[in-house]
Amino acid sequence: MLGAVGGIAAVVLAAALVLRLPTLIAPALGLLGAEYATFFALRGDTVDVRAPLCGAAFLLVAELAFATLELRAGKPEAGLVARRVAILVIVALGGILAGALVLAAAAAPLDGGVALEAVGLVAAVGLLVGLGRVAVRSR
Amino acid sequence: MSREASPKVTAYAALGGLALIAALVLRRPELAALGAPFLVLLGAGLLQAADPELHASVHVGQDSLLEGDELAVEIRLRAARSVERLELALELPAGLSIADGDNPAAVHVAGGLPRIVPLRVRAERWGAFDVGDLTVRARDAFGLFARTGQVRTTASVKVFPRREALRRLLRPAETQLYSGDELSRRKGEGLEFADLRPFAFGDRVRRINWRASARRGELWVNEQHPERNVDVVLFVDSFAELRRGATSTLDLAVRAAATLADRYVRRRDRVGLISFGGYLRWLEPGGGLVQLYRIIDALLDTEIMLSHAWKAIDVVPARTLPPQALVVAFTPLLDERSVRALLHLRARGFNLDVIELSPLAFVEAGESESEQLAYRLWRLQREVLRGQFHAAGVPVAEWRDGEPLAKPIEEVTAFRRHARIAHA
Repeated sequence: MLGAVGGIAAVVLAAALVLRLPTLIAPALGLLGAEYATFFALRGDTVDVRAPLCGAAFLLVAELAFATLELRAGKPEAGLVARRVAILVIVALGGILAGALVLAAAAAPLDGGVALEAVGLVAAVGLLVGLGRVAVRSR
Repeated sequence: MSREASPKVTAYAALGGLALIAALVLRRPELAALGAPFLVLLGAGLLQAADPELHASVHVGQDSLLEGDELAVEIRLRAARSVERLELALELPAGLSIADGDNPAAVHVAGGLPRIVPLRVRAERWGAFDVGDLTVRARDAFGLFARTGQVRTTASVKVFPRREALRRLLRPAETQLYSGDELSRRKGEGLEFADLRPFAFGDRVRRINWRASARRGELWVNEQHPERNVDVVLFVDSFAELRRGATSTLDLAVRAAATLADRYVRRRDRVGLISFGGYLRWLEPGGGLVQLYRIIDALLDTEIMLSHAWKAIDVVPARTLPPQALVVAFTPLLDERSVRALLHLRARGFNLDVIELSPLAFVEAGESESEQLAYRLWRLQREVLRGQFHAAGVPVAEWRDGEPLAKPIEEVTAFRRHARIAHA
């Protein structure tokens, strides 16, 4: 079953690249994420410490897929491509660091409960709202 | 500048948000770690998404050049904040093309530092051109947002037609009164020996030819040809043109007219212009560099305008066609109105020379039998037309692209020499 979900994700991603439909990239990555979540559900309670690496890999796949579809005019001057590659590497390393921080925070010895989950939910929603506000302000 | 978001913004926000919610619902911190890179990149990109305050301008090295020459163009850029990737596209009009440099191009602009992007532009064709607008698109480091704007350029460039090499010019039958470089056929004060005649009262002693006088036993004096100026009217037929690729009969006409105008003006002759076509314009004959630039400017504005209105040469003011002027016509002999106007000029006694800008190089015979028959008939009609001009004493010399202009000039000169002997 996991293989089937992964296969569908790969087909959707290929369709996005071939048909030049950037809107299909997010669903493809979502399917890959769903496959990963199913893998956790089957695996049990142990925390997968490779998750930050997987997150960075997901981000790299997304960046490369969007870069393939982006309409970029003009021949880049010398050094521009190297800068782009360097930024991608930094983004990937930053992604690994962020994922590791999240896992480290999750491993903190805190008592669980509805209140803590509610705080987490509010924090997640707050993060998304905050990003939205920054996006609106930067227009 | 208008800003547009990449599809990445929505996709990353959705993926990051979904991963966070799923992590909470499924109680799996790995999912949060999976979505965290997307949200971090989104946050970093949004913090950097401020307007870079980009200023761009286009500067051209010179405002006039010759056909085939290259022009230095600089795109000057300055941004308050760094622009990771700035895409530039300079819209060049037909007639100008990039000789060196990339257009469109993508460059990095450091914040606060000026940046110059040099380009070399080749003038492929004569004309007056406005260097087109510059379109800029600034992308941030993460490729999340792009700001697009257009910079209006005020730079304009005049591309003068290429000059043809000429050894000599067309000589008119009659010269004008003012001194110039053309040897008059009349006799008078001058440098070039013309004839001998018996001494008459009033003749200067210095004009006496002592050797001839000693031989004849009476006083004889030398006569000279005076050097006079010439009135030349360049007649450019702009009713119709034939074009193939970058070359057209109008291009040939403009190049030839510019060459002759330049050469005659430098000889202190007076040159005028009649652009006879859908859009009629004329310049009265005049001399000097100012007149030359007037003529060149008028030639640069010459274009083919479709018109079915009948126009005769009478619409041109009389002062544009001074008596005894040499009229040099550049025409593909395609439009009946210009043919009639030229024959009318000849009938009025003007000294007319026709440089036929051969349309044959622009027309193919076709493959079918009927097409080839039509082509042969068309060529025969053109022969008949040339015969009409010859019968009126007008030389018609064919000029094709790639041939030197001296060829038709020599043909016309030879026709005149031959015609004079025939009539003698």
